[in-house]
Amino acid sequence: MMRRIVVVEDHAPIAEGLRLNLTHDGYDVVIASTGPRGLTEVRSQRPDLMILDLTLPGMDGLEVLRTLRAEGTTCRCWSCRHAAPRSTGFAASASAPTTTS
Amino acid sequence: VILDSLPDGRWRGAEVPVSELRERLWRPRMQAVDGGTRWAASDQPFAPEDTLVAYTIHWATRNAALVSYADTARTPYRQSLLLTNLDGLRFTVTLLRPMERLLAPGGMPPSPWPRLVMLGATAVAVIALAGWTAWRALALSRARELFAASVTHELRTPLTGITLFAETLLLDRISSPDGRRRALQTIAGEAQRLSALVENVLTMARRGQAEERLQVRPTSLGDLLRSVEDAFAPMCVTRGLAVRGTVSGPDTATIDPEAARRILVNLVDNALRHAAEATHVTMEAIHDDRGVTLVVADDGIGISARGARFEVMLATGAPA
Repeated sequence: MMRRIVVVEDHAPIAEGLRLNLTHDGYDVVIASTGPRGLTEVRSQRPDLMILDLTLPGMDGLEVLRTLRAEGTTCRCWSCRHAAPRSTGFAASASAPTTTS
Repeated sequence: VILDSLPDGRWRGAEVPVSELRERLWRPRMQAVDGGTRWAASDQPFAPEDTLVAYTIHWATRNAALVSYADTARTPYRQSLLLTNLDGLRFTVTLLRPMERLLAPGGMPPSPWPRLVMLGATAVAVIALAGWTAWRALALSRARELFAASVTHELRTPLTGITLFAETLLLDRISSPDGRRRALQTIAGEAQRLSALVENVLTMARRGQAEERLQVRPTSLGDLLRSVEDAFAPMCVTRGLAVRGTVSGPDTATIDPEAARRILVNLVDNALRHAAEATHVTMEAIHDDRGVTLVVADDGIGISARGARFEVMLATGAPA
């Protein structure tokens, strides 16, 4: 079964670049360009991984993650821009994606 | 006022006589006085050249005298009692050295309080100034840190786009000519964005040193707005957004086209960055009696009343 990744990223070129590469590597990629859409996609697609930008229109990345974690979503989450603050529920930042939550 | 003579020859109220100071000035005068009983007429000041104070004897007996002093350097008589002593034909002025120092015009020793208050106030002022300077330096360095962090964040976004697509192309992961062309277009667009951001930073740095000089000249508003539209065309296509410019009234206005373009690009860029799909950004050049007003508006999400968005952006822009 194809592994699914939700990319929540508002900067179109980066989202598009990630989609191109991840699709090439054999993943099923869903793009969401705002925080609320990211929430909807993760809830409905039940992805194996979510790649989450922190500065997002509508709802920032931390808020999205907090909401999802509060709902009990356990899918892995990578932040694709900054090193995330500790104890926010991120598995790891993009520079060191090693552990799962 | 008559002073009480004490058994030891000094006068009540006197502390330490410094007779040697006055004796030199005093003696010639005394020799002219007969018997030391009628000195009351002696109303001329001693006018000592080497002291600030001149004395006038108003009244005297063998045992006491009433004198007043005048500050020769200043104004009239200050009625004041000086401690005096009579020794045969000689008067000894027992003006105390410390008292002499303390005597102020008016005859009262000055209070130490004004000086203490002044000292205290100065100390408080110095401490407050030091504190304020330190606080300012701290605030400034924090602002610099925040600025550097948010600028880095802004610059990194297009840079990431460029790197991503360049590497994707290098890895031959895009096979169709169309796709390769789109990737190159994205790289060009991101590079343009990056260069505009760098230009912004430079402008800000220059503004910190001196007022920027505007290069005002007759400019076509239509061309100006079209150039901004073109700058965002690739982004609009990929994200399904729209940027439109309209001019109402004459096309030509006397403005600095570079500065105006930079302002418009910043505003539109900010609007699009936070825009959901199908957002429309409009730029309007409106003529009125004061000149031309450039209005940038979008139909996307707004900013909450308390400006929370700015706080959030600053917070996430800072190094974690």
